[in-house]
Amino acid sequence: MWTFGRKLAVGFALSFALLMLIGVLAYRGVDVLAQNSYQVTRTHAAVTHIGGLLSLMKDAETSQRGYLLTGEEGYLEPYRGALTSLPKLISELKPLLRDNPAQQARFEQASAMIDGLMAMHKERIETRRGEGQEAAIRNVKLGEGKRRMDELRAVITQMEDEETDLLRERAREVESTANGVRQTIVWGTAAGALLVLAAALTLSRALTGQVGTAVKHVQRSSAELQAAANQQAAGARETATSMTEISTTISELLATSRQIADSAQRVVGIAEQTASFARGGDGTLQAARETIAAMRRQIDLVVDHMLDLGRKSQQIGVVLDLVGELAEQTNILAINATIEATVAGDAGRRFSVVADEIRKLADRMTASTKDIRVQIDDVRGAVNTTVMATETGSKAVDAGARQFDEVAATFGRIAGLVVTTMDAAREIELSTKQQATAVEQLNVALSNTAQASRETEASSGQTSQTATELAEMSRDLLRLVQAQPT
Amino acid sequence: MTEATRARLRDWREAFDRSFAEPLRRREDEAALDVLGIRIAGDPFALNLADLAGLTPAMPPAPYPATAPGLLGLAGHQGQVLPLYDLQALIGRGPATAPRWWAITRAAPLALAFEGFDGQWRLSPGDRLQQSDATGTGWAVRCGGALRPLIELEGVIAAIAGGQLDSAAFADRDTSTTTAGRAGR
Repeated sequence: MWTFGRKLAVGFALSFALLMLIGVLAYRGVDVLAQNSYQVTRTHAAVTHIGGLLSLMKDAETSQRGYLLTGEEGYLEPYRGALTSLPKLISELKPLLRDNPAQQARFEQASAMIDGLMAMHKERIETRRGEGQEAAIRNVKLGEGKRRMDELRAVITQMEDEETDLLRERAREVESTANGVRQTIVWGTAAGALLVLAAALTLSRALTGQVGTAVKHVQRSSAELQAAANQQAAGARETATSMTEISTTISELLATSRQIADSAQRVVGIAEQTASFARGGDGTLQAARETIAAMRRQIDLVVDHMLDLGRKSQQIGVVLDLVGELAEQTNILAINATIEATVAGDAGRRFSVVADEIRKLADRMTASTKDIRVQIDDVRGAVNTTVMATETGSKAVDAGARQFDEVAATFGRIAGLVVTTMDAAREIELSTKQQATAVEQLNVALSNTAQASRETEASSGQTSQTATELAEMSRDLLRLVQAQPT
Repeated sequence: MTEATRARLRDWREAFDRSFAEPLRRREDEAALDVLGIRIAGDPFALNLADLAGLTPAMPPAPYPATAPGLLGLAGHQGQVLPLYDLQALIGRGPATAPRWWAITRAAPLALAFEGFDGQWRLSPGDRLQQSDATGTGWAVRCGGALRPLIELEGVIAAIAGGQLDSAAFADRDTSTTTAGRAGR
């Protein structure tokens, strides 16, 4: 289906082509007319020049005759004028006849005749001056001059007739060309009028049909656009309301993020203090570990001393066994001495007393060795108990040292975890700050979005108004193109 | 050194010095009794020192092929070979497990083996008591605050010499009180 613009373009193109055709034909007609006019003008000039030739020849003949009759030089003035003007007139006439060979031949013939006549006139004038009037009239009476003049007249008459025929012929051509131009103008105008009328009808139909349909579409679209604009405005209002609520929530979130950031900062401070305490505690743990090691060495030393004491107690026991053996033997000897003193009777009485004292000493020594043995056994028992207790204490110290190492390791892990906690708290602080910044940006973006929603609402209102105006304009346009109410 | 030890040392010093300072014992002292405290089968007994010719620690006896009751073998003492009898068996307490002492009797050339030797005491006549327990007659001595049955070696020696001890009779013999019952001065 042809569009309205295409139809308009085709209509204008046909009109333009028709105008161009009419213009070209008219131009050609005018050109032909101008050419004919130029030819007519040249023919008129040729006629004038031909008449001028005859007139100058007449003036020369008349002037020659007057001089021949009167002998006065004043009569020769026209002759001299003809003698001056004829060459110029001939030279001007020759190009005017160049396109006509017959006229060109006649012109040559007439020129020769003019030259002969002018020579004859000059000869007669010379004759009059030299031989006088009689001689000159005698030559006139011969009639040569008249004959030549008649022949010249006849030739010039032919030339004038030829030019007159040419004028008539060109008048007919002008008439024919003018008729063609007139017909071209009349028929071209009629054709142009018909074409414009057809284009107007076609365009009117197209305007009424296509444009009307399009305008109806525009009307429906305007209605739909208005409804959409109303929905968009409602949505924009809801969006603005939601954005306001979200902005309020995000403001609360921002405050919470800042509180979290403050808390994380406090946690970082506490973690740094804890890490500092942990480093100080590490030194204390190291000193305590050294103290435990020194205690362990002291306990080992005590155990060594105790074992040495036990060995020496054992040696003392051995020596005590020796002493006990000696005491027992002394006792036995004292008993035997007493027995012998008893056998000796009175002689042995004094010896018996000494032996009894010796026995008493031996008894005391035996009792003392028993006491010493008891005490040494007590000492050895105490030593064994002490050694066992010390070994138990040593084991306890070892266990304590191991537990202390575990505590120290745990403390080190705690210190490491505190550092990790501090790093994590810093990361939390940094992340929370970044989150707060992001939330601020989000809040700004939401505010911008809410503003954009409000602007969208306003724009939707404008769109609705524009759609209403567009619908009104569509009705007007439809009224214009269909001339009926919608 | 504790205070008690110092006091005991001081007493011992004084007693020792006093033994040199005091005059010889009077006649009453002649009645003093020297006894030897021994231990048989864990029980305390006493021997009259006047009945003994010597006391020596036990040594391994030389075996002697005889079946006499209580005979342990032969013992050597100051160049003499003496028959060694088990005192515990002789007083009817059964065979001794590990005799550690030998006592040489003065009345007869023989040696008596017993387990324990507690010491020697010089007793006054008041410390010799007539034993009146349910087991019979005999004497007992108070040594260090405790009573010890006094074994009369004469009866023991007489029993060995008289062959009164045969194995059956030895087996039926009750305690040392039987032997002690025959003792007495």
